[in-house]
Amino acid sequence: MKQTLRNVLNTYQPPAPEPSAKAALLAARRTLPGLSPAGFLWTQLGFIHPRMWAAQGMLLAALGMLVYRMPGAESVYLLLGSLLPLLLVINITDLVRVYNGGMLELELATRYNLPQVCAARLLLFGLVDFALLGVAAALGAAALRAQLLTLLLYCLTPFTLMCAGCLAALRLLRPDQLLLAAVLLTVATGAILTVARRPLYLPQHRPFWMAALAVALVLLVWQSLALQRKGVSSCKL
Amino acid sequence: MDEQEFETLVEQHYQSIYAYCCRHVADRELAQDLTQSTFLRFWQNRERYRHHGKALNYLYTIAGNLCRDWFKRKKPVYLEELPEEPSSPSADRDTALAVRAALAALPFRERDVVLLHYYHGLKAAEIAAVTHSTSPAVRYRLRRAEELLRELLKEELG
Repeated sequence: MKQTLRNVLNTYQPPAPEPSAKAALLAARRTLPGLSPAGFLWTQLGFIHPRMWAAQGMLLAALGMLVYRMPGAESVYLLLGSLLPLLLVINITDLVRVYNGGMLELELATRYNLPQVCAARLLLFGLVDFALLGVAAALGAAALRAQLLTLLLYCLTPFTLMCAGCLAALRLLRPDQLLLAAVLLTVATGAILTVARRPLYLPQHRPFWMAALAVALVLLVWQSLALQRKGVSSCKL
Repeated sequence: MDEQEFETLVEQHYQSIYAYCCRHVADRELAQDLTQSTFLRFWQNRERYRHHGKALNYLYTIAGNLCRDWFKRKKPVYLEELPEEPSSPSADRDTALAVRAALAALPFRERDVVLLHYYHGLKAAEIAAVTHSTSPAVRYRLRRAEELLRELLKEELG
């Protein structure tokens, strides 16, 4: 039976390609500039809207001013912990713009596939966000004359949890639901930190923060691997 | 990989990749474009290709991704709109057209395993590697595709 099916299938032979097709391919290869991974990231950087960087810069500047006006250390921790995840919301806004505008096709002029473009974009966002987060933590530490590591712990933990949540949302939700999910996650994070701020920021509870950061990092790695394996919901391999 | 090796690769595998793309999209011009993109993408990613498997299988992976991307973007094409393909001998012409229609009616993943298995001689494990899947999943898809093809090609199979 299988052989019969094979014989029937073999009756369909596609037409021969044009004789010039192979030569055209080799000619096209000669005109193609080789892109290194860094070059690819650089071209992707060019596609990110400057408005997004401006919005992140404004957020950072606003936080920088606010940390010097907060009445106490606890309020600074709360401010940074609950508002820094907005950096991610701004990232998601740019991703949604790209999806909704159907612009990934234009951006595919680099001849890379969709998951590679998405991965490069997320990598760029991640690198810039962590740099901005470091600056915000440094500003907070300077304002409070506190240890930078403490500030980093309080900023990084909710931010990393948000990152893991956003990656899960990218994997599971449609592009039009992404922004809402990111905003809800930010509000939920802010609400939890606000409600529990009294016990949370006591020095004796730092081991809890360290454990939470470790869990958040594990979740982030897990979600990154899942995203790499399964792709973004709207551009799977 | 240098330019000479790349040209040898094109020489060796152009026909296989073109046939694979053509059976997926049933259009000569488009298949040529997809084949060209496949090789160019291979060239651009050559640093990452580590000779873990056959170069041809890596090319099938790239070509499959490109075909899938194309199917995601395209508007539906009706069989009547597909161009005539005169390559089969006239006695087999009707059967060939029926096969082409049956292949076009299969879901992408099922068609993919049929093409790789029946036309390109890949085993389940190789197809799993090419399609980033597992051997049991490939075997399941192949069985499902065969059932669909037997249904669609009832007359031709007698």
